[in-house]
Amino acid sequence: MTSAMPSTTPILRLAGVSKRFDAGAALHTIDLEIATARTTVLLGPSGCGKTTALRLMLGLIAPDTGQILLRDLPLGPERALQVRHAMGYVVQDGGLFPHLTALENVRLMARYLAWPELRISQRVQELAELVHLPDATLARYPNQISGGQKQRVALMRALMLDPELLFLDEPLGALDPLVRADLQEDLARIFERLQKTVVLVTHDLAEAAFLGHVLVLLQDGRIVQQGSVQDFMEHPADPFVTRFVRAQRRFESGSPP
Amino acid sequence: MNRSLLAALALALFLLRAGTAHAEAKTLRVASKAFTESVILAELVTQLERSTGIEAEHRAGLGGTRLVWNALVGGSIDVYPEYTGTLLDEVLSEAAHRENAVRPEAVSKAWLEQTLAAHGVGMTAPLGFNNTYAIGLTVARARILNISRISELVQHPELHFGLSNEFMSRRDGWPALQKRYGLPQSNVQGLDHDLAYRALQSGGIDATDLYTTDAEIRRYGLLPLSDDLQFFKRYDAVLLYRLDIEARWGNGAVQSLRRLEGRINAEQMIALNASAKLDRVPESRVAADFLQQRLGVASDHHQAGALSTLLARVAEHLFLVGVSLLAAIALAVPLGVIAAHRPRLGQVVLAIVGVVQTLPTLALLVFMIPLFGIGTVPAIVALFLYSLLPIVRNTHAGLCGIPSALRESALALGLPRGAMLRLIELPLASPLILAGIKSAAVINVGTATLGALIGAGGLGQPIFTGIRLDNSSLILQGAIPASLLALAVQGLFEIAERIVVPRGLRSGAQQ
Repeated sequence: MTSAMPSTTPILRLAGVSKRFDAGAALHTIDLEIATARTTVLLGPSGCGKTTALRLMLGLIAPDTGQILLRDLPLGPERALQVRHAMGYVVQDGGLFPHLTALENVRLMARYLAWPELRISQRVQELAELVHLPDATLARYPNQISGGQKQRVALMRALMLDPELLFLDEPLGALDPLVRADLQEDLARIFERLQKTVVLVTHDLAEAAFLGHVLVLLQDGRIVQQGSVQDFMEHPADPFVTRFVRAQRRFESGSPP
Repeated sequence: MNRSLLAALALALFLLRAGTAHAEAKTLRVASKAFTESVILAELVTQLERSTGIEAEHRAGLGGTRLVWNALVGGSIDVYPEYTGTLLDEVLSEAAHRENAVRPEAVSKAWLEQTLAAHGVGMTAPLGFNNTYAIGLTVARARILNISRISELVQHPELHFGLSNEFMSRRDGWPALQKRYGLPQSNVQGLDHDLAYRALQSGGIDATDLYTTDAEIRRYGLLPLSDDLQFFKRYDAVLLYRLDIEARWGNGAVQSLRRLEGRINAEQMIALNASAKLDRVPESRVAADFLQQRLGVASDHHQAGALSTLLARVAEHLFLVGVSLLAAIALAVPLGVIAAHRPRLGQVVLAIVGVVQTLPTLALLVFMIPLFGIGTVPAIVALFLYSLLPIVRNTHAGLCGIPSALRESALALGLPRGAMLRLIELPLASPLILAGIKSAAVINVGTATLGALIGAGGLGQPIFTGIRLDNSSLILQGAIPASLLALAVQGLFEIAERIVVPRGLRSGAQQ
């Protein structure tokens, strides 16, 4: 999973997008293309604007300036519901609804859209196998299952409607190292198999390198560099890139990716 | 959304009001205030009307002059006993002052009738007794001193007076009385009324103030001295009635009222009060016996069994609480939802229901009489209003307390707003909403006892009758079931929590 793959046309485009918050964190005018059927990783230290960029792409917040285009059509409130059915979203702690069982969480949207029962259960079965989740776990409530299992359920829920786009906001951020490594492997396998357009947010360079085709490094609301890990190491755009790469490598025991 | 809700509420209230007004139109409604004499007089009227074939009911023990008068003028009752002094002092005081006539004697009968008629109210001639202040001695002591009039007290400066604190301080009380009669007594002390009666009996004091028809006059063998200089205002008992009762029930309805004119003297009223208050004979029995003996009217008074009475009271109570609570839930949950989704409007909504909560219950009840009359409807409306705050506040808090990660997850799934509310937000807020409904219900069970003051029945009826008759067993007959009911409601909601609150949200579900 390296940058060796041929580039494809962008499915999602941020054109001159900026967003300012009272609290300080902001996104300065950025342009960004998300390639179809590739995994793009938004990378950077806390407060760099990577989560803001993700929320803008999901339409959870609206940009102050610029446009977000999905297949060249602007993302607006009038299309929001339709568009969201084509997007899956996984947040850091899973965002599972505590009043529903894991299974009910997964089935929620399909049931709301009145899918036939058979289709729902087939899809759930498929996804459970994909994410390696036993049936017994699906019968439980979110507060009865582990963090790693929660993320697997959240992934199932996000994939239920077979969306074109999958967004993950630090999906592994709250997990202990062993579970995290496990899930990283599984995510890589799942992304590979599904060939979906994935946008993943993380502050972990190794994770980004392991999962992503394209890495986008942000600092203080600006895109510093886009490319592969090799690009970052061999042709750093500025000293911050080098600092960021070095800082992370110091804690990695393995060889550079 | 909120506008249509308000419209629905207004419609519901209108229907409720129209429904009850229609149901009550055929029954002549006699009311009394919350003291024994008033209840007995109203009972006499009710039974007398019934004896002529008119369907009549007695709404006993309503909470105060202003309330009963408003109910009469507003048309939710038809007849009630009143005193001329009270009429001039409280009810028509402004008009009477304008007439420059503070003393009832100075007001012409024609003026009074005209003023009442302007309100659509008629008045009978006095029933025969004047329930006013008097100075009383024990009969034995009065005989030894050989006095029967207040003016004769002048010759006995050594007498020790024990007067109620209220009488001591009233403008028309002791100081004015002393001046008017030139009373020389200097040994005068303020006492609690009940203590004064006992002190009289034991000889600790020689004289006290009393009301001329007090039951205690008979119990303690007292002699009210006659007010020979006519110092005290007259409180002649009369019956007030709506002038339209003649049109609605025929001439006979007013004729029956007139049959009581001049038929009850002070001694007889004392006896009636004493049998109800001291001998604990039910007022309906007291009234029936009087009608039988004095007017030769056989009336069908019936005393329901204790258990069936209790059950009826509990049923009335549950009806008040249940209907008001359901209506409150129907309005308060949507209001809470609106408040949570529109923070600025929410502040206004919360402020309004908060203010409603601070209104004193009795004030609210009186305020609602012109709108809803008396009885079940205003009681339900009041309980409904009091239930709003806990439910609105908890719904609002429950929805606002949903973590933003969950809200965004739901949003990102592409659930429309309505489905999000129904499938995600309300279930997540359900523990708090239910807690709000529970506290509203428990408070309602207690507050509903006040419904008895506006004729709504319920467990407040025995409580207030018990207070009036100084009968603690009667008080307990209302208070104990009311407390048990509150506990039962609490328990019921704990069961409801198990059903309504999703399993994943219960504290016991953690592994």
